[in-house]
Formats: sequence, structure tokens, C-alpha cells
Amino acid sequence: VEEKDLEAALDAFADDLDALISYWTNAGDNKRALQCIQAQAGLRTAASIIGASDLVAQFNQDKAAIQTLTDATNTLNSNADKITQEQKNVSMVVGILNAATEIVGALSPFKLSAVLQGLVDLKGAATI
Amino acid sequence: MVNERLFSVGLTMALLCACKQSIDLSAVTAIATLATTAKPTYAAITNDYYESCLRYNGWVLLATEGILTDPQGRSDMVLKAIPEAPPPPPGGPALQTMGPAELQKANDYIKKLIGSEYCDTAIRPAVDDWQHANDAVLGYLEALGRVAGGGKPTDFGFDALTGHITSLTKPQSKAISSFLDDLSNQIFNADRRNTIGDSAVKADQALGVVLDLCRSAATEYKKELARERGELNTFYSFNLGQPNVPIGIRRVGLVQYEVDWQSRLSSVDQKIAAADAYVKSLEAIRTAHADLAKNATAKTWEALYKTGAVFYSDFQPKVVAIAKTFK
Repeated sequence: VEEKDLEAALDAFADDLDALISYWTNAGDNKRALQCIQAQAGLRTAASIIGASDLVAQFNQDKAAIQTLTDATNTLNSNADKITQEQKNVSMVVGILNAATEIVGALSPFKLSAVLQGLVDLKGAATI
Repeated sequence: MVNERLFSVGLTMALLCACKQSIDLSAVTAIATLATTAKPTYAAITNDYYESCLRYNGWVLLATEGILTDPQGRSDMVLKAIPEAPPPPPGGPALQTMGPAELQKANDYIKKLIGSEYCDTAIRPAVDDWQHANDAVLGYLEALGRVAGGGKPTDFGFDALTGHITSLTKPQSKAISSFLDDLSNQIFNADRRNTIGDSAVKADQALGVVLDLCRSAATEYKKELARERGELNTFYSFNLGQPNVPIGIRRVGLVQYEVDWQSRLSSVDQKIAAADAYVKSLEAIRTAHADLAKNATAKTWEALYKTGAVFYSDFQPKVVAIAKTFK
């Protein structure tokens, strides 16, 4: 018998006891009704423990998937940091060029765009 | 002539960038923002698996603690009398219902009953595993969003730089700086897309497995809620179903307990509905990510916007619904 089946059977058995509890309650025999309530609680508790244990077993079995996802997350975060840093580097270089207005002013617009394109391309190396 | 051509190219590039490039990354960012929003909601629903175990045992305790003899000698009455606070309603003893003290008492009772606090020893580890899986899923989505970088173009400062070139008119200068900014953004966005795409393809299978685990946990949580509901019914129907209850409790008292009973059932039912909404939100994640991986493989980045929009409309209402339940 698999855990899932056992859990379901215990829950179903516990639910079935409702009728018996009602019967003894209506008959005024609270002692027997209480015995049934205790049995019902025991069955539900057992089902609960079996269900939780099976769930933990499933998590253990598939923990490699969680690790793979965590690794992917770490890689993404690392790449996000890298891209942000590269963007900062480009902004920094543009800022330096901006300050050197006399050099920039001496360039024709066409050459300027070529220089700046070169800077943009350089960012791939992430070292500027 | 060269300037005019450059202006024209710059403007075209700027329009292209504005219309196509940033949209897809914005969609991924929207997904990540929703993941951040969902964190406390997922944590609340996960922890309620444990809380439900405690509540269930509270009802077990109340139903089986023993028969208290009615002070007026009606010995068969199964009423849980509260001698002091809160005071019994006029006309008879009160049914005891649950507060924090009763939950604590219930936990102590379980320890006595089965030798350990099984909510702590059996349910808690499952809850912790479930939370760990939730964190892995939401953390992954947030990381996708970090790579997407907010979907907003960065200003690299080319505007000020081209402004120094006196031979350019203002519109020309603007067009060139926009072109350079957009070109730079395009290059970085291509990096972002490649990173997201690679990750989506590689992680899709693992994400699917983890989502399945979360789904199983939600199913188990719903079963626990069903047990809580069953025991709650047992407690009230046993007490209110007593043939001689009207002797001890006035009619108005009975109505009050009926209302209380229904209210507690409704609370459990809302949690069951919240668990269903949680499962649907997991499916929204699964679908969106599968689309992401598919689009990454096919390089149809424009479709990513649609993915994000569908995800937003599917996912967001579920999270709001869950959050309302656990307010």
C-alpha cells in the first residue's frame, strides 16, 4: 500500500465515523460517542503524519531540481551585477570624454560617432 | 549631407528602440515585481499548513477533553464550561471555543497523547521544505527581473557630450545622442535577453519539478484543512447535537453557537479557496516560463510582451485573493 492510498483510506475511514458519532450522540450515549471521536481523531492524525512524511520524502527526492533552480538564480544575479557594472563603465567613460570638451570639440560629428561607437563596442570586454 | 543621414539613422534607431527593444524586458521585470509581491502571501499560506495542524488538534482537544458535569446536575450534557472568563451566556454554560491559550493547551495535549508534538516533528519539516521551494521559485523570478534591469533605457550621458559639438544643430545633436544611447542600450539589452533566454531554457525543467513539489504541498495543506474542517464539525455537531442541549443553553445561545460554527467553517473554506488560488498562480508561473523558454529558443522577443501581459492577468489576481484571506 502506498502512502497516498493509506492516507486517503484513513481520512475516508475517519469521515465515515461521523455517522456513528451522530448515532451515539442522538442516542444519548456520550461515552461511546466520545470513544468514536477519539478514534476519528487518531485516524486523522495518522493520515496527517503520513501525508506530511510523504511530502518531505518527495522534497528530498527532488532536491536536485531545487538546487538547479538556486544555481540558475545565482548565475542570473551574478550576470545582472555584471551588466550593471558594464553600463556604469560606459557612463563613466562618456562622462570623462564629456569633461574633455576641447578634444571632443575638435572632432567632426562623423568621427565622434565612430569614436563613441568604438567605446560602446569596447564595453563587451567589461574592462573600460 | 552626412549630418542629415546621421540624423535620419539616429531617429529611426531611436524609434525602433522605443517601440521594440525595451518592451520585452519590461514584461520580465513585471513578472519579477509580482514575484516580490507574492513572497509574503506565499509564506502566509505555507505557514498556515502548520497552523491548521494546531487548530485541528485544538478541536480534537475540545471534543475529547472529557465530559464536564453540568452544575445543575444534568450529568449527560457535553458542554465545555468556562467558569470565569468569558462569562457564560445567560441561561447556561458556554461552549468553549479556541483562542491562543487553547491552542497552546492543544499542543501540550498532543504531546501527552502521542509522545511528541507532531505538528512540530512531522508537519513543520514539510512546511519548511515547502517554503524553501517557494523561495527558490520566487527568487528565480526576481533574478530574471534583475537581469531585465527594470526594462527602462539607461541614459549614458551622450546628450551632454554631443551638445559640445558646435557644428551640430540642436536637433542633430539630439538625434545623434539618442542614437548612441539607444545603440548602447540595445547592446546591453541583447546581453540581458541572451542571459534570460539561456537561463529560461536551462532552468525550465527544474522549475517544472519544483512547481510540482509546491503543488503537492498545497494538496497536502488542503487535506489538513479538510481535517480541521472535519474536526470542527465534530466538535460543534457533537455538542449542539445533544438531545438535551436546550436545557442548558437558551435558544438565543444556540443560535449564537450556530453562527460561530458557520463563521469558522467559512474561514476554513476561504483558506481552501486560497490554496486553490495558490495552485493556479503556480500554473501561471509554469505557463509564463515555458513561453519565455520557447520565445528565447525561437528568438521571438516581441512575443515576450504578450507572455508578460498574460502572466500578469493570470497571476496577480490569484495573489491578491490569497493575500486577502490571510490579512
